[in-house]
Formats: sequence, structure tokens, C-alpha cells
Amino acid sequence: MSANSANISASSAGSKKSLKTFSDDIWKNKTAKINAELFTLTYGSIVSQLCTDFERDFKKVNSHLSAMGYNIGVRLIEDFLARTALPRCDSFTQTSEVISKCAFKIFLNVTPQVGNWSSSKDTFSLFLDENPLSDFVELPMDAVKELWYSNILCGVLKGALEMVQMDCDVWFVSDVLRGDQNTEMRVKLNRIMKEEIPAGED
Amino acid sequence: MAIYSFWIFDRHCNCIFDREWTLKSNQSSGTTNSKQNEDTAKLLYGMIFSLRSISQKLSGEGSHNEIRTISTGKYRAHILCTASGLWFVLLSDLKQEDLSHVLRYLYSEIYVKTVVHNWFSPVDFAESDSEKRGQGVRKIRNRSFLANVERFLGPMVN
Amino acid sequence: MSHKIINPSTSVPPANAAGSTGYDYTIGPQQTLPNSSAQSVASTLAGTRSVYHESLHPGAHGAHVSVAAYAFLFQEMVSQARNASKTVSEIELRLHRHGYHIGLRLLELLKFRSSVTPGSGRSFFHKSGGPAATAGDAVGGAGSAPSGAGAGGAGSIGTAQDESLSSSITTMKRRDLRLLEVLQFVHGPVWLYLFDRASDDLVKSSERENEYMIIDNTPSITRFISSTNVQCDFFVCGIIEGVLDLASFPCTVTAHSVPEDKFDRRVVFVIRFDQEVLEREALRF
Repeated sequence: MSANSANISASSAGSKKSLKTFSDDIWKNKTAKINAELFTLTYGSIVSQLCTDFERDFKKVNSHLSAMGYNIGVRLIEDFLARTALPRCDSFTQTSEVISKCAFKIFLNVTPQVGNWSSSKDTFSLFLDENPLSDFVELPMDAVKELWYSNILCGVLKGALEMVQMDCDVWFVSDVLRGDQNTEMRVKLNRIMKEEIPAGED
Repeated sequence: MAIYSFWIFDRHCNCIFDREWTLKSNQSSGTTNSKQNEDTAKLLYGMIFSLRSISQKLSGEGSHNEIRTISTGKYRAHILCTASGLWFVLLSDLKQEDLSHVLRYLYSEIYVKTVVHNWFSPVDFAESDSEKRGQGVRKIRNRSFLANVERFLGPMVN
Repeated sequence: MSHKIINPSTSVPPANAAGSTGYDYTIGPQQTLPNSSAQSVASTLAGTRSVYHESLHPGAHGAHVSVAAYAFLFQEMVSQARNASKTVSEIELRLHRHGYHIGLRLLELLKFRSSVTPGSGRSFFHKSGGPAATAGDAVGGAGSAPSGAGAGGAGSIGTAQDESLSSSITTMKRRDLRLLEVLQFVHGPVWLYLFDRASDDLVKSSERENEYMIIDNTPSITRFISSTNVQCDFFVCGIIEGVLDLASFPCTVTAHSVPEDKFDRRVVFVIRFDQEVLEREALRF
């Protein structure tokens, strides 16, 4: 474990390869698995229920999905850290790699591509070529323009990153379900939050 | 093998769990989430907090340098700091050189399974800002967590 | 489920097929004819459609996600149901409803997949719909097959591409007509699909004629849940009921926690069929 953690903070070229091997090993050997389609169908049932509950007000559905994701994210981070024993990242570039190659891999068995970095290196995109949330899904016409079907992922990332002191905004900019060419999520780092110190210490 | 006590601190500098064994001969002796231990918890937190800050400053910016054990003349503190800001601390006799695997088990097999994966248990024990920065009082009280901790650590007390 | 088959509506402007995406949810997914319009849809939406079509192929099944990811999603679903409900039975009803909609789709999906001759090439073809579609007459050429109105989710579009999945289906699997057959289907294929194993037992009640029980010693999806006052297995009840309802075996399914020996989480799913089901069994056979 500690040897692997050490590799992560090694040179970037070296760490890319080891991070993939490291994650593949966790996925293959240390992860209990379940039928991905049951996951897809369950999520579909949640989204369609929300569309009914909010009377097809898709803006509300989006924010509700994101809030659900946040609740998951603040917990999921502990499961993630317990399984990977990774330390905090040294840079936001490293964070992007850990999210795509490690987190997405060991939870959902997919590896989104990282790209589209902003010039200030505080915003990147994740391109989801495969998305286990959205198999079987075709959006009805009235939802196509407004609903971000997989919006729960934004909340998960926001919640999880906040727990490692990164205040981020996460949002979708395109989705193949809406007829776009690809599915792209943006992750923007607003600031690194200060760790709390006991009252009276400052 | 002798373990004296087990502590968990959260990222709000609060002690969210403490368990102290007083009699080696009796695994069920001692206190759990005790009010009497409040001051001890603050001192223990302070000791780790200070040594951790100093050691991180000494090692320079940017590199990870978490504190793992602190030895004194009478006991040894074993510490696991997670990236999410949780501290798991075990106090043992001096014969225990390395309990990192025990701490890791407490985190990944007990805390994650009975607290994190349990939606009926909070994961953030500070309910308002006034309960942050070491001023919180809430503890992990969930039965399944308590039972698992006893089952796992009990045999190591002696 | 006595919906009439809904044919492609002529009122849908052709521009819609070529330009935008999505379907009118009040009508349901539209059938696409295997001519130029099908091609234009396929080309404009190549990305979407191919994923969508491929997902029906038996080979598509086999992918996994981590149990942890599922447990997080499931628990958040339960927690949403709790927040929106006043009573425990209302929570259970909500979970049941989530499962029910999954069950409706599973019957179609599993029957369709099991009809595909093993070893056929991966291809794009999509076909699903109301109960009639599985009954054997649905093996027309791609696109000309009748399609039912799914209430949402899986739609009904047949698109002929290089090689259609329909060519690898010689006979559509017959829908289960007898009570025991359909119960075996739930106990076997459905459980196998959901949890990677058959259920532990299928028994008939000795007390009531219309009552059957499916037993799961180690329920997979509720294993993280520590609460005992809410019966989260009602989600699985919903799935069973959805499958049986769509197969025309109306029933009510309830879950009961019955620990036994080393299985402290053992659950018994009690299936009570409506009276008409028993009468029909008696009549036809």
C-alpha cells in the first residue's frame, strides 16, 4: 500500500502508468462487484421518479440529483481512501488523474478521458465515453434541452473533493443523450480550503 | 501485547470516539465515550497536532509527511491520518512497534462499513459551526460500530 | 397493460427525426422505419443510437460496477424515500414502486436476450415493448416488428444496419404461461441476472393455495442497511411483482425477515397471486 502511495507522488510520467496498474489491481482483486445493468436501471428509476415528483421541472430535477450526489460524495470519499490509502494530491493535475484513472475505475469500472484544461490549470474536463448511468436511456423531447441525466455525478465529485479540502464546482457541458457529440463534465477548483485548527490556536 | 486506548478525531478537531481500557485482566473494563476523558482527548489531540505541524514544516512544502508513531518513556501512540482529515489513534505499551495494519483495519473494515455505509449514522458529527474547531461533543454511538471495535480490539488489550 | 400498439405518428414532423433528438413522452418512443429516415436518424444520432441498440444484445450484459457504488446509490434512494414519506409503509411503497418499474423492463429484456442464438455477431438492433411483442409474432424484419408503448425508459426502435440482431433469432422464446414456469423464471434467470446466483429456494405455501415463497439467505443489495424498522427488501418485492404482473400473473409480493441459523439476514418473499390466476390455471390445463 505505502509503496503504491509513494509511486503516486513520483514523476508524472511514471505515476500515470502505476496509477492505472494500481487501480486495475484494486478493481480486479479487491472489489466486490454487482451487475452494472441493475445499477443503470435503479438509477433510471430514481430519475424518472424525480421527473414525476417535480412535475417535469427539469431544473429542479438537476439540482436534486446533484444534492443526492453530494450526500453520496461526502461518504464515498472515505470508502475510496480506505481502499486506496492515497494521500492528498500535490496538484490539481494529479487530482484529475486520480479521479479518472482511480476513482471512476474502482467504483464504476470506466476511465473517462481528462482534457480541455483551462490556461490557469484550475479547470479540466472529464469525457465520459462510457457512462454506466445512461445505458438504455433515451430522453423524451421535453427533457432533452434541460435535463442533465447523469447530474448525480457532479454532486458526488463536489462532495468528495470538499472532504479533501478542495472547494470545486462541477457541471455538465454536453451529453450524448441530448444529441451532443460527447459527454463532458467540467471540474473547476475554486480554492483549497484551510484545515480547521482548534479554537484558541490562532 | 497491550493496548491502552483508542481514539478517533475528525476534521473539526473533535474527538468523536474514545475507548479506554483500565484493567488488562478485564477486556470490558474502562470507559467508552467518557466525559472524564475530554481533557485527555484535548491533550492528546494537541500533542499530535503540534508534532504533526512541526514535522511537516521540517520536511518542506509539498511532500507528504504524516506522523505515524510517537514514543514516550511509558507508552507509544500509533496514528493514522487520512486524506479526509480523520485521525485514528491507538495508545499501546512500548513493545508494539507498528500497529498501522490495525489502524487501517479499524478505518476500512469497521469505520467505513458501519459508519460511512450506514445512512442512519452521520459522517459529519458537527451539526453547526459552534461544534467545530474542537468544541463538538457528539460521539459515534452506533451499536454495530461499538460491537465491532470491541470484538476486534478486545483480544489485544492484554 | 392493455395498451394498443402505437404506430409511428404521422403528425411528427420529419424535421424532428433529422434534427433534434428525444421523443414525446406522452406518446412514447417512436418506431423508426427502415428506410431513408431511419438512416438519417441513425447518422445524426450515431453515438446515442449505437449505445442504445447494443445494450439489448445478450453480450452487452456482463459489465459490472462495484457493490460500494451500488450501495451508495441504493442508500441514497432509501433516504430520499424516507424524507418524502410520513410512515414506514409509505417508504416501503416508494421502494416497491422503484423496483416495480425495473421488473416490467426485466421480463422483456431477459426473454429477448435468451431468444438470441448464442454466438451471433454483435450487431445493432433494438426491440422491446408491450407483452405482445414477446409472444412470438415479433420476429419480423427489423423495423417492421410491432412495438408496444413503453411508459418511458426503454423504447421501441428497430433499425436495420449491416447485420440485425433479429437474424440471429430463429424463434422468439415463448412467454411463460404456467404458474410454476413463471415462478421458476423468477427464481432462476431473474435472480441470476440481478444477483449472479439463483435464489436459495422456491416453495409453495402449505396453508394457502395462492401463496408461494422465494427465499434468499443472503440478500445482496440490502446488506449494508442496518435499520430493521424499514424493510428495504420491498425494492426487490417490486421487481418480482413487476415481472409477474407484466407476464399476466397479477399478485402482491411482500418481504419478511426470517433469520435462520447462520443466516441472520435471511429474507422470505411471499407471493400471493390474485384469484383470477388460479382460476385460469384450472381452466386451461
